[in-house]
Amino acid sequence: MISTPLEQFTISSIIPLHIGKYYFSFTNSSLYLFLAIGTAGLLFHFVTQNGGFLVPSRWQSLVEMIYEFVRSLIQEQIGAKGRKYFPIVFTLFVFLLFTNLIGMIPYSFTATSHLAVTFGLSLSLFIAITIIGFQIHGLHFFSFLLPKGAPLILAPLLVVLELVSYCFRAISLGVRLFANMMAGHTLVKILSGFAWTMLSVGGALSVASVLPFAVVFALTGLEIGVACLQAYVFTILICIYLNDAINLH
Amino acid sequence: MKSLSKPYILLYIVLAFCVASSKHILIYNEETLVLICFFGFIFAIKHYFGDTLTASIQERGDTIHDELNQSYITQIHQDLSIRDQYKQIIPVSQVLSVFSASLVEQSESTQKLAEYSLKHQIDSQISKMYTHLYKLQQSFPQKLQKKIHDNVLPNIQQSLALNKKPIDFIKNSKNKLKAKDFA
Repeated sequence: MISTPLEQFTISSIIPLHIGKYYFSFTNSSLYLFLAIGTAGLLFHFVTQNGGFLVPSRWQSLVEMIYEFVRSLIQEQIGAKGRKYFPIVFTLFVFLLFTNLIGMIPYSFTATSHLAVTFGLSLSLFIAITIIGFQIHGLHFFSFLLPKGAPLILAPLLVVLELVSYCFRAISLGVRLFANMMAGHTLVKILSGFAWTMLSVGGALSVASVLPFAVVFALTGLEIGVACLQAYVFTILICIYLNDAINLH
Repeated sequence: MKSLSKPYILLYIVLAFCVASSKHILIYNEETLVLICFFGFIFAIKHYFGDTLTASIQERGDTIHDELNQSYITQIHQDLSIRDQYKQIIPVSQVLSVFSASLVEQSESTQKLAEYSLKHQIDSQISKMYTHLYKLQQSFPQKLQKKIHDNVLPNIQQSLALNKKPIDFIKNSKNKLKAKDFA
């Protein structure tokens, strides 16, 4: 029986728990979120045990490279003022990277292919960045809505546009990650469905199924790249938004 | 019997897989194909790029190892040079300590000599002053008597002759007794 390409995104309760009409079940999404966090945590724990080696091992080198990458990202985007936000940015990057990569394993679940996860993350970070902006600049933070050098006559229109653009950041950030993950996995599923159907039919079509199979093979590589890239894009956009909040213009 | 090359083995596996799938000998779903693709991709990356990736990570570790070694060697050389400089400085410091000890002795003796000479000088000055005062004391009554005879008595005699008070004559006298007369 052929399953639909969207069946892979179904959330199923592993430990059902509901209080009234509210559900607090432990689902497959929760399981894979915990798995991603646990994998990342274990990797960092074993690599940094007893302070790590002075001459790093391969895994320690990998972890150090991720650390240096995020640190250089913050340094370039925000500068010295951004150092205190390094823990949250690093955690975000590692969380998204591991969640996306674990989702690439067949028969697993991609937690970031759900808008609830990505939008929840982007909205909460957006609210936090806005609060940081108001904490640092007070009401002067509203000057961000009027770009530097803009003529005052256009101010009423520009402020509204900039406000909509600013608020839309939270939506675009979450939707970008969700759409990339969902579309990629759906495409892989559709093409593998083609290959399976052609193999099942037999004859010349089963030999011709090598073509969609090769495309799926290439798409697997592309999707692994997209998984890493989307984690990077999400993180760098958060750094850019933080820079806007801290340094305004 | 010729051994089969890898491409031919792969071709036969694919064909066998196609036939087994079409005849429903192998039963699976499309996710299994994704699984095969995934592990095939991982295997291909490991086979073609595994050594490169391992070498680049190892190179990073080797660079850190070399830098550490270099820093240890530099530190050892610095410590050895400091030890050699210290060895050179030790005799100089010993000479300086002997010299300072002798300086201290000399300064102490000089101080004692200075104290002694100062004390002696002060003593001699005081004794001179005492001698002078003693002589003054000894000569004072005789000088006073002489001065009284020279200066006061004529005034008294004159006052008695003129029937006036002697004290008025003494006060208005030109030959008054002064302290310098007894120096």
